[in-house]
Amino acid sequence: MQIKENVGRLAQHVPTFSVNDSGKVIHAHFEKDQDNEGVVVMDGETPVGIIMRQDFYQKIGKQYGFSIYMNRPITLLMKENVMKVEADTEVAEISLLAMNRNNEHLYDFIIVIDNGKYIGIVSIKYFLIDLAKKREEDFALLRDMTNSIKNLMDNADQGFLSINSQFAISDQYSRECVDIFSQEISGSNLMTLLDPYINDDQREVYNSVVETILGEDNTIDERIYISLLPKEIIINEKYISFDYKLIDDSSGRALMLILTNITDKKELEKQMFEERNHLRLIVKAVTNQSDLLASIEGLKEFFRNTAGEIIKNGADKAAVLSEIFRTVHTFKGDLGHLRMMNASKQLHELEDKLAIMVASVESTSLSDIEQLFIGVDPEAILEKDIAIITNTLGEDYLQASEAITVSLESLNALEQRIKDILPADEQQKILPEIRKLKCTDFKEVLADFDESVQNIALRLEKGVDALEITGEPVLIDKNQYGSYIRSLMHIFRNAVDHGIEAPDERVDNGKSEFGHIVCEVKPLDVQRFMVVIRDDGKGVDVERVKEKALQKGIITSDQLNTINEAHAIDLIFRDDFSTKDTVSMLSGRGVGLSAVRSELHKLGGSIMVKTEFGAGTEFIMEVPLLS
Amino acid sequence: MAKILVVDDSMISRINLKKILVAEGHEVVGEGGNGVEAVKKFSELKPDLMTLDITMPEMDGLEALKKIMSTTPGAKVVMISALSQNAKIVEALKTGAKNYITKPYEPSQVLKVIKDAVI
Repeated sequence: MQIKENVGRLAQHVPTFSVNDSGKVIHAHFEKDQDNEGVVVMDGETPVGIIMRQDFYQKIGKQYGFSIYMNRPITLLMKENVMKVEADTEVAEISLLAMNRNNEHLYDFIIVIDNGKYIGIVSIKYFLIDLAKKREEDFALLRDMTNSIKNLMDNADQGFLSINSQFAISDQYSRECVDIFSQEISGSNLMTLLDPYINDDQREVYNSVVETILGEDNTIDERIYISLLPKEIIINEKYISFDYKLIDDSSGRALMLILTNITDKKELEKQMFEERNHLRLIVKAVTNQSDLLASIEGLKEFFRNTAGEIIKNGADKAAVLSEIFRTVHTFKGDLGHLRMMNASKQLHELEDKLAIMVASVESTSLSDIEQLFIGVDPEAILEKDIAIITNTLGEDYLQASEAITVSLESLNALEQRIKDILPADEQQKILPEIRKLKCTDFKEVLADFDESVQNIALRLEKGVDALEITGEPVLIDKNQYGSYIRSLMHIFRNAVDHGIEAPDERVDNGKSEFGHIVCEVKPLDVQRFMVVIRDDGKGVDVERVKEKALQKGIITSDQLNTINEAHAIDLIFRDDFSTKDTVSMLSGRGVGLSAVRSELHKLGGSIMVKTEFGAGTEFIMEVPLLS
Repeated sequence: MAKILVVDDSMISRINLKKILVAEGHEVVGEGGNGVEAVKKFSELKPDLMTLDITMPEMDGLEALKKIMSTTPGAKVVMISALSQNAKIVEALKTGAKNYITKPYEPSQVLKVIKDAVI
């Protein structure tokens, strides 16, 4: 035995948690720090147990595991029977001590204490790497311990192997490698083994990175190169995570690979992901019933009739394709926004097929498009998402022509599920939605448009600051203002699309790169409140509005010269006025600025617009307070 | 704090990156939208560091990097890349790039890479 080294040298710090913490805290920690192998549980200054990542996910992955452990103290999850060693224990003893543990504890941290005081842990994974690194100088020690290390490695749930610059796998590797590749790997070439599972980019990266880091050049930063190697590869339908360490082998440098089968964890993540998506859909279904039903009907109508009509009546196949592509794209976005992810995903696949046709429009015929659409059944697209909704909210949901009535009891149950399943930041967004089903501040209604505004801006390659909402609270029953609230989308869409300029244009005009939209709400008296939406874009070009109106025959050339500015601007509210030359999805549905005015008129309110060419546009609305 | 030249063909990307850098106290001394501008502005402005997008029109980031490294061997360049371009990043590192940032990125990650590269 050559080594007279203390285990204290190997002690590492890992996060510690108090016995009073709940499982949720540990879950959040492991999700955030994916590289962390485990944590220590402390009772004051004393380490009382450990929680290893793998055990944790096994426990919560079991049926009911998640709900059992999340809100209970972590003492239920921790292992108390943990090996503790004094810091001055010799390193050589550790592997023997560790080997004497049961297989299920083999990979647990070893707690290191110094005269009873906790100083850190030893991770078996890093202990093995450390041993491997010192392999040459520790040769004598290693010979004695080969069996024990082999035992340790083979009982690990991880694959250890190392390669030289020619990708030849060295003789020492753990048994898990054989399971992962479903074949003996002795004497194999790593690139040959991985070939069926990696793409061209990954293959090139492996070749180039391994050549460089195992080469002669000592000036490079190997960590940067290693960070480019694949971190996850699907092998024989198993998710395998790949970790890499440079080690000094007796015959030179080698790259050690640590392979972990994370299929169970991925499966659990997928289940959680789906469960969360279901919940998000149900929340949307409860809070946006009319939008959701309208989208479902719109989609059915499009696939059953509208698409066929567009194909039949369209003279120019490029125009037909572009119209259909745009519509499918908009439906995809709408359904995605309503969290109907299954339907949205299927439309995405359809969109991919259409994109190929758009790209090769010359060789595509109208009957190709027709054929594609014959194979699409809107009921099938919607089936899964509708089932998720009706399973929780009942079949009546789809029939309801009036606002949905959800019992207080099921609202409370929904609230509890949200608290259990969704991450905290999302809870903060959704819970107010649920709570305000009865009564809402109009300012919050406007704040909800921010997400859509940002999406539109992104699509148009424009920058818009988060909506600024000012004024005083005005409490309303959202159900009574549904159509009006939805119509406001057109004001925001107009502001981003036509008002706010592209970033470079804004800079040229001496404005900030990002556009700014202000919404102001305030009560006027007991019967009315005021809503103002103001952007700092380029304003309405009144001359262009007049020209357009003349072209469309809305005004005569005599009126063109006599009409005053206020009246000219008013033209943009007319049904037959649109400065857009193409019929978009939304204007095809018959909405636009005229819709805002007509919704307001239905409520008994009014709208006016002020604009300054070059400086911005302001919509001022007076809205009655409905009891 | 460093004088930085930002090269990316997307205006929005440049704006976002500038926001991150300026907030930390760096000075963005110039911007470019393609590889030709990268080469020209690098020699004119002599920045402490340049961020260089890989995929750009006219001349891509790799070609621009090769030209710059041949005239200014110690140049400090950090590559900006989209996903699945790792092979190109390795080539850039071998050509002399200090490090890389993958889009989409977190501000903290950008600042750390820039800080390490400037030293």
